[in-house]
Amino acid sequence: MKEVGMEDCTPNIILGDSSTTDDDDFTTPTTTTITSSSSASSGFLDSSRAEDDLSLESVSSPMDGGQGGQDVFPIMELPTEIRSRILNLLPQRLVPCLRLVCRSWRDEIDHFYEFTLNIYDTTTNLPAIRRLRCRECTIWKLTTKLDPGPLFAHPAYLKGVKVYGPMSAENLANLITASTNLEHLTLTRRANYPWILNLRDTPGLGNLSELRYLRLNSEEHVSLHTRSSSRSGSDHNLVNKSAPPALPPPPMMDCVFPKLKHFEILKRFAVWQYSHYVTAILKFVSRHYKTLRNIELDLIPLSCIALLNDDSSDSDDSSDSDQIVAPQRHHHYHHNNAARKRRNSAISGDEIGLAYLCNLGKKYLTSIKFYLN
Amino acid sequence: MPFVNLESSDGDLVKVDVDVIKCSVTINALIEHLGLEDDNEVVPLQNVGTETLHKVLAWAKHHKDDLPSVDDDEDDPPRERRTDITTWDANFIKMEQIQLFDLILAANYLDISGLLDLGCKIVADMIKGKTADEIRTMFNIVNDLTPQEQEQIRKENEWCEEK
Repeated sequence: MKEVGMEDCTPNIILGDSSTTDDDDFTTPTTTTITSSSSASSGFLDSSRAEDDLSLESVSSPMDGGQGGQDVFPIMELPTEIRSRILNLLPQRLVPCLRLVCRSWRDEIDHFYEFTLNIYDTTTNLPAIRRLRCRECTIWKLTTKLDPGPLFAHPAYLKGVKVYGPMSAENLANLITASTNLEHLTLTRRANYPWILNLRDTPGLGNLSELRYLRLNSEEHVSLHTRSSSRSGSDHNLVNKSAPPALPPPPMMDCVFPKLKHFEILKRFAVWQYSHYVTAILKFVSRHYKTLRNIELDLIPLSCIALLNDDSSDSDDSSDSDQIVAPQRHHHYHHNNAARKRRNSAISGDEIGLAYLCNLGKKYLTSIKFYLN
Repeated sequence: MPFVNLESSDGDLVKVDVDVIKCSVTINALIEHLGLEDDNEVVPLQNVGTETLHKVLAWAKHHKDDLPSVDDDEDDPPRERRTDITTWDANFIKMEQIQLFDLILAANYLDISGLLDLGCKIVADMIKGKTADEIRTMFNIVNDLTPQEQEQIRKENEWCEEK
């Protein structure tokens, strides 16, 4: 039994007892044995993995080494799915060049390349992009009335949507209701653009079973309303002389996203005046506490605690309930929760109004950020 | 069953530790489907030649202890197109073009995603920085686009550009 190497990087290949085959001679049927032992590593195995990572640009490719001479890689003989995989490893800025190679490449890119698109409806060629496979898109403006139906011809490929500008609720529905594989959704509403999409106009989104990241960033128009009372005492019963308008929570707060890991809601207005709104958000969190790893909220008022049920301390039983459960002994949370320490949670601010969420997260969350109103 | 016999398309037998080849979804499925219970039974691999099979096994042995890749990270953007590659892999993949082609096909057939990724990254790297003419020359592709079609593509390419 002897050990042979296969070129430079072959680990132990132990020939079978009856084998007399030369290293490079594979013409005769042979029996070889590959073991999982790593004791006799080749030289390459000695390198530290942590130090091995290099940018591909720093590594000479087979084409660069002149090893092949006239050798040509028969890329057109690869199966289409492999060629598609190769194309999708290339940055989008190279795509224009690739579409000029030949008809086949143009068609394959149009059909298989997964694009990242920016949409501003007055300048974007919407008919041209609707037929593409879009993986991520950022909406800067999309108020033009479009034909009914999904915005993209292949909505199942859409994984990320960021809405940073005005967009009609109808267009948003056309964009994402058919995108059942959507993983990342960011909706931003700025108060200085009152015509921008209002979160409460968004569709229910109950079909987004793959959603992992939900970010709602809103400067609601109602921020112009002023508070007339202090926040101390029973401010959850606070009544303004100029009562703010009704503010129903976004319909999506009634949804369940079974894979939701990151939930972020930043609402730069006195949302704490709307106890039903806050309650809806907390119920939403409560329904997702087993999957959520990161929560970022700025809507939790001190008065929130008064909305909660002070009698219960075990939030682990709340997974199937809409009841919001406030923990007891929340003052000990910071010091006694080993799970939080393990997961690098960064809890700051007044813990009183946040104890409920802290308690929810003691087993599951990796980070929580709060911004008290 | 610590070992399994793999039969290449050339008829050669390679006895391999099951632990080494667990990265192959195809072989795992064949083992399960064929109900192999002892070391003498053979898993036929009709689409993989002996030389390529040895290459695949060399890669598999080096990566046998790799952790399974994590498919998502909620804090990252939905996707980045990354082409990182280790030094070992870069040296491993230095081979003739036709060998690389066979290796990619084998990785695809054996359903070894890590090895397929590696091969695809290498080919993608060949393409990077090349003009359309250079790509045609490199891969021996005939330009069948008419001047009118090329002009049309240049107009269409506006939506490809990242803003």
